[in-house]
Amino acid sequence: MAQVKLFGGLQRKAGTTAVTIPGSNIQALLQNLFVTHPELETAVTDDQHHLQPHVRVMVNGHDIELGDGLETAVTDQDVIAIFPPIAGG
Amino acid sequence: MEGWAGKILDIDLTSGSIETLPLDMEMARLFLGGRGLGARLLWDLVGPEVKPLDPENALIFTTGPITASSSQTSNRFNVSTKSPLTNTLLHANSGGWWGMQFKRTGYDAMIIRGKSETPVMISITEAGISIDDASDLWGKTVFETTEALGQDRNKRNVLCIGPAGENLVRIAAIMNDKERSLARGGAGAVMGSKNLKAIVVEGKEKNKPADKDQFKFMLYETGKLIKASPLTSQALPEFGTTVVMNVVNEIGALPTRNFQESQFEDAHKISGETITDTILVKNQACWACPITCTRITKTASGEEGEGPEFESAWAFGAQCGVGDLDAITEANFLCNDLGIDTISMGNTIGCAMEMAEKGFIDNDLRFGDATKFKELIRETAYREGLGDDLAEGSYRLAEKYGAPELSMTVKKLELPAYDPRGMQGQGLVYATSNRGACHETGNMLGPEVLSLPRLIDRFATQGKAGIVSVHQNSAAVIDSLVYCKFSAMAVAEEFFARTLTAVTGQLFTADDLMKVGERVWNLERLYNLREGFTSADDTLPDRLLNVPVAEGPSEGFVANLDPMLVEYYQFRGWDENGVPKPEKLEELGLAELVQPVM
Amino acid sequence: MIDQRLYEEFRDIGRDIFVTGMTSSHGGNMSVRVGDKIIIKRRGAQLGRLKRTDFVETSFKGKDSGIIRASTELIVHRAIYEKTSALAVVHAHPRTAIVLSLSRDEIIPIDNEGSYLLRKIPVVTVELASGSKEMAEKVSDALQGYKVIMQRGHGCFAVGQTLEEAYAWVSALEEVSDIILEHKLMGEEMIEYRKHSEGYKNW
Repeated sequence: MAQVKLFGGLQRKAGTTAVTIPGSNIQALLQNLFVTHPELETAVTDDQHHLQPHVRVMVNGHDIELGDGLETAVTDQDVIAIFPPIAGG
Repeated sequence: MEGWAGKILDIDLTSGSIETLPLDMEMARLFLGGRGLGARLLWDLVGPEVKPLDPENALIFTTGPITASSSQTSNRFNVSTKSPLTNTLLHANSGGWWGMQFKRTGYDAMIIRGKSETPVMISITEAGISIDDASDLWGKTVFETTEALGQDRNKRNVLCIGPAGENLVRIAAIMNDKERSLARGGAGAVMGSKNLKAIVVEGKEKNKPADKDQFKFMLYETGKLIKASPLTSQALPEFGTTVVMNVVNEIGALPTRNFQESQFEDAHKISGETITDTILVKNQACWACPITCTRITKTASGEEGEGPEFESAWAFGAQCGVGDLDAITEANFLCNDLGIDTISMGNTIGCAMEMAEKGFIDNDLRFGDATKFKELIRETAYREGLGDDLAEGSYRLAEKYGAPELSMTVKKLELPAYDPRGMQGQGLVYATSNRGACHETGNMLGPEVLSLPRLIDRFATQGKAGIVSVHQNSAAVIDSLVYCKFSAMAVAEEFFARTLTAVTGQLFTADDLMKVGERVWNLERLYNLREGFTSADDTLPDRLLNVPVAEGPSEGFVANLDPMLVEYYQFRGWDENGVPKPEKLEELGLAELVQPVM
Repeated sequence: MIDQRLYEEFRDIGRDIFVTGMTSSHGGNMSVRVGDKIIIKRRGAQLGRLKRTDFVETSFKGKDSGIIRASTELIVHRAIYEKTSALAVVHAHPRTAIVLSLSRDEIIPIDNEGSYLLRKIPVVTVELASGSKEMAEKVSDALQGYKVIMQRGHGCFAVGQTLEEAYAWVSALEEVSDIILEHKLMGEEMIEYRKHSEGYKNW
């Protein structure tokens, strides 16, 4: 099972900063995440199962948008980070 | 006034003269205000023969045509001068209330030249404009001075320096409205060198739009988009700027222990999420701003104030290997009170920590130890002990003790919170920024990390020069209008152009504004060239160019600056030495300026 | 000359434009600005099947060896880069938007998303199409205040910092146009739900 780190408002919604979730790619992993944490679903994806605008998902620090998107493969050793919309600097 | 007040206040502290000059409206059209107008005035007033702390250096405060119009975030103002830290042209801007209030006194800008023999302050109120004795204020902190001069939210606003500015600390800030700052590059020391402690403003004039209906429509549309964007309506209000700490760490671009590493194990302890969960009292807004990103915080020992912003939390945090949020926050408060730039202070302490660990200075300062923060900040402000060296900034400190390679600076300005080895475009931003290493002059966090407007590969170099240039031009025009860069997260230049058109009654398109940004950028470049800077100064610290990141997502990368720089000069229409070509200057309306000198 | 990342962006977006029906097999074109060069689709290459050899590098002005092989609309792309801050240009033939352009001087979205994103899309008329000087001038002038514009009866030009951004404007334009057309065909009175929507006319 891969480690999934949650940030920003997602931490409060889920009541935790990290969970371990199974899934061979991001799509599968998100589906499993929403089973255990249904409160995260609408914050992360829209009704077409696409990521919400400005939500960033990273595998080991690399944004999946520059990988294979939701089909980006995941292994048990990977660390997934999910960021809700954030801004600053 | 409709946009511009049409007047510049010209004060000579040597002679005590106070004059009003007309604003050259052709200059206003070309440079708008803020940073652009500041650069243009500085070009004429302060040549290469003037040293930054000479009486002949000018301190130029500027507002923009939209300032005080009540358009969202129309509170900001700018200061331009020659920097005692970098010797480059310096521009710095700040929010709060003071800028709006100064504009309401009926001036677009204020030039301060010369040097008073004794400490003075300037008052601009309905009673008139005066230069008054400030001997009793000299030595007082920023908070004491602000209170003593009767800061009153949106009626009477105080701008001042603290002890750091008085003592000519090269990283001293000018502070306004108690805890906002014109932070970078040591403008506070220039103010101190003039024996000018404070400027108090009270104004009654209104910046009324020329086209009321169109202005109202733009207010409505802009407000709608700020509300619709989760960045400006949720992320910034809920977590403040420090919410980006975790993402910058996650991608391996959070400089740690003086840029020796690019991830900090305690990043989560100093993040926006943790600030909100622990020390946050409430959030606050600048004048006419619906975003409310300011944090009012209170530490366990009961100290309360503004901050820390992301950069400050990084500077005293990851850069120094410190994960103690209370210590970081209190260091931030103390910098505000003494009038010091938090980025340069934290970065310089981090540099000193590495120098101490490696034996270049004889001191028991170590990474991770926050117990000395307050002592070091005080010593810096008062130039005592090691503080006298820290007061010179990281470059002069490291050079003095034989380790210039440990200074993380560009053009002697301390780097902010992004490691260019993990964000290649940000490296180009730092290397080419006209005021030295600075993220605010073209931040690549948007395109390289947050996908604003679209995600680009942060490790790629091809095509980066164009994106960097466009962001630099955009930042330059936002700083000239003067808007807050956070409003640009919800609306684009076309909104600024239409609001500016409504306020001034003169037509500006989005690309007219981008052209102003390019003009400002090129004029700043010309200024630095006239000062003797060359393309050799468009570089990064050796560590970032040659030492690959050891582990994490950016493992193996160095800052691959050279190919980006070649492309950058080409994109900008500069020659291979980084000098704007005559046809570029012609296109921008700058050719006449350089005829006599270049 | 073109790195892998940029090639993939061209290829993927080219395919998207073709498969969403916003150009015929050999129509449409795209370019990006890199340094003082323009990288543009080769004349005759298929947008939906771009290969690494399908690109031409050319300068901003003047004649060079790239011109002949570049897309016929290079002159328009050049003018856009010269007059605006665009870093990428997409030209496509979105059908519904073309239909609307035949009878309108501007396309004003009536749906919520389109209003947010575009507010208004101006339509310019060009007598001589396909790479004329007149077309270059009119299109680049119009793009100084808008991210996407229509050339009457021909197609759209969109700009962005990346190809993806420019493509997003094209895609939004066609959605906006589909909705306008379908609403028009339905023939019912629109109930205005947007405050200050009359302001979009002046946008």
